[in-house]
Amino acid sequence: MSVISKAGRRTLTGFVAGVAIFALAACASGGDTTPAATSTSDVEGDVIAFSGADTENLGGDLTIPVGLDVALSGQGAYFGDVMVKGAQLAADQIKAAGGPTFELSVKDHKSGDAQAGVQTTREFSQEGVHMALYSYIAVLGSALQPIEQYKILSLDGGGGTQEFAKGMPYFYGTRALPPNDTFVGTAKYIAEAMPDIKKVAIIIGDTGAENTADSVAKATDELEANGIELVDTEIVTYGGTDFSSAVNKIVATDAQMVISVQYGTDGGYFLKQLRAAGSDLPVIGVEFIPDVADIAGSAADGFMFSLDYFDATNPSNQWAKYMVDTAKEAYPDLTVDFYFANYYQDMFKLWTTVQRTLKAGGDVNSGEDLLKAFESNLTFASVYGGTPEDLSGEESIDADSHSLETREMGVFVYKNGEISRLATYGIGGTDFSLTN
Amino acid sequence: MDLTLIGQLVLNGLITGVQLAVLGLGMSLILNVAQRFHFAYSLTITLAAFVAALLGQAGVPGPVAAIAGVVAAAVLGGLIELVLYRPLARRSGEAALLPIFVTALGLAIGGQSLIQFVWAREATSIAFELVPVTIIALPFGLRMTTFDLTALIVFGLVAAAGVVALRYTRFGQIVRGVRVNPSMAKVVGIRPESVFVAIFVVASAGSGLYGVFAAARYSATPSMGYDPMFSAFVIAFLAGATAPGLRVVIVGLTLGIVQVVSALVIPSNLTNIVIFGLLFVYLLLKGSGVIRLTPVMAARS
Repeated sequence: MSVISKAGRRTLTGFVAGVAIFALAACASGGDTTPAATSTSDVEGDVIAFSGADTENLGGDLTIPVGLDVALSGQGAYFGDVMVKGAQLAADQIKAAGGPTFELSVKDHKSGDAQAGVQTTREFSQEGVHMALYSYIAVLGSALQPIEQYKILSLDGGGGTQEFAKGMPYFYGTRALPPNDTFVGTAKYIAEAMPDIKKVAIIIGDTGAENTADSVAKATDELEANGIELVDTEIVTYGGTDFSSAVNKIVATDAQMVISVQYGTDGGYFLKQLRAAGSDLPVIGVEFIPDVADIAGSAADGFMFSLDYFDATNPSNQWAKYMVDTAKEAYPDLTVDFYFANYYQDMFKLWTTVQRTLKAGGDVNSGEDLLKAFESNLTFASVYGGTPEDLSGEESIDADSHSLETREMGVFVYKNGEISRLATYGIGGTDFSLTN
Repeated sequence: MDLTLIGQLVLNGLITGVQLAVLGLGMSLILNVAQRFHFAYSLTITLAAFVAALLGQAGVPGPVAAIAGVVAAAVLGGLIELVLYRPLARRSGEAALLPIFVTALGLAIGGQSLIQFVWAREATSIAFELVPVTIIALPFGLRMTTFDLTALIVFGLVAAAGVVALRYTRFGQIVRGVRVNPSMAKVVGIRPESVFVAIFVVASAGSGLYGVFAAARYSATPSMGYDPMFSAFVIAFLAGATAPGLRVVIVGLTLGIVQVVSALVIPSNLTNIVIFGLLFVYLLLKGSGVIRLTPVMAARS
């Protein structure tokens, strides 16, 4: 005799059917990240030279699992797909260059689901993973404790460390902190290039009360230091689409310009609604992705943005150009952006770490040995910075904050489908200069 | 206090509200007549948006693409009732509410993932132009766009047609009859099952209309259906189980205006909470007896 009643079985059947539909569709959303074709012509000499690899310790006989915890479902699925493609291209090039076989263990954190962040990290540990690339600031902090517990050397090129993950063991941010690292460059740019602007409004996506307040305070300080007053602050939904109320409030102030601290497609919706409200206020943001232009259409013309943007149309060094060319070959439909670039070059950071570990006689299956090798020198070759004549640029990570210490940043403008650089600066506003 | 700003927010609230009203009208019928806890309402909104946006991308004129989106939503809505809910309801009898709820939830989540997989892998959203957008200057410093005006007219007409149809037509009489007493309706030759399908088709078409306008105002995204679906639920709850169409429309309009105007006193990111706050307060007052049903309403309930 069944222990489940007839009604119970019906309920269970309905539930199972619902879950099955979801599971099937969720599994399907993983996407195909296999490169169409990875060019191996001259790849050995190229990436070894670009990344400054130690040819005595390439680790070609090793197979090393690397965790990749990204958004494969939910709102950030597109970005997760791009990140995986960047990491996969790097893994293929590293192997072709005589390096180890990096086996990517790709996990879905469902666009920032904290529980998924913990679960995927546990799974990494069960799979013997001691190096991983995360996104969403180690899935909004939830994975920080298990990362330390399981001793997984982890890099986050998607969200960096933000303030709350600074200095956390085994965890490093490999992206300039948006928005706080951008405000100094933005304020300097407004002061030098648009000296008539003295009053600005800020629209900021809500990423938690403390984080948001910290960013507004940082923006206020940098603006005031450059003689600019913040006259209105509009806190809006992160990941939202309807910003019309905030737009109306901004238009009703005497702001001469808007700083948009919005991510993903949010900025596109804001621009569209700002122009639809009849406002021609200049806007400067902290991020730009092609979708912003698709959504905003002509309203995106003139949109400025200030960040460590990867300019695929004008690669700043030879490695960057090589990465863009090989990426286009491998993924013809892909737009190479900073997410792709960050996850691509972070794989090379892991390879450098393996080389150092081997050189020191350490164990590449030991999280402690890998961390020691990584921390022995926090300066790495980069696809950012440098000049077209240079093999690569350079970037370094701060030993205390575990966040980027140096990286080339800039102010850019989108106009008529093209992006051009308006200014260049480094983290902390160093070496600020307007583009001629 | 800036009167122009208040006026502008009220106008925007009206435009939001009239769209919510149409959405709420459909949900009210599904919930109160067909008795389906239809979470997959979000799916018909999203499907219509994507169909319209993809056709628009392929060069189909905006209005034609929009109509195709609405039709797609209507067909999907009808099929959901015919193929999923009805058989489930037959098998489950009086215990049908939970299996249907779970199925609807699975359908909403699975459908969204499927749309993302099929249509939104390379781009997170697809833009759609329904009508060319220009700004119209109004008296007292107010303004609206040609798109806003189109939305106001189209949704206003649909809401009015819905109210009139439910109140004065034979279809409305049948719907009211099935809602009050399905068994009696059967006796007089009405097939409640057919009425349910008709309700799903009409309501889903309304949700599709909302979807194509949302795609044009923002863009088509896989998760775009959730917020409006919840708003529709709240409107249906607030209006009440026996609400005539006019009351549902008034509740929708009020909710839209209150939600938008509340941005004057609370941060914009919290205005969505207003909708649920209103529902909470309403249920609290109703539970405590502060709000009482009229004798006629109570008898109907």
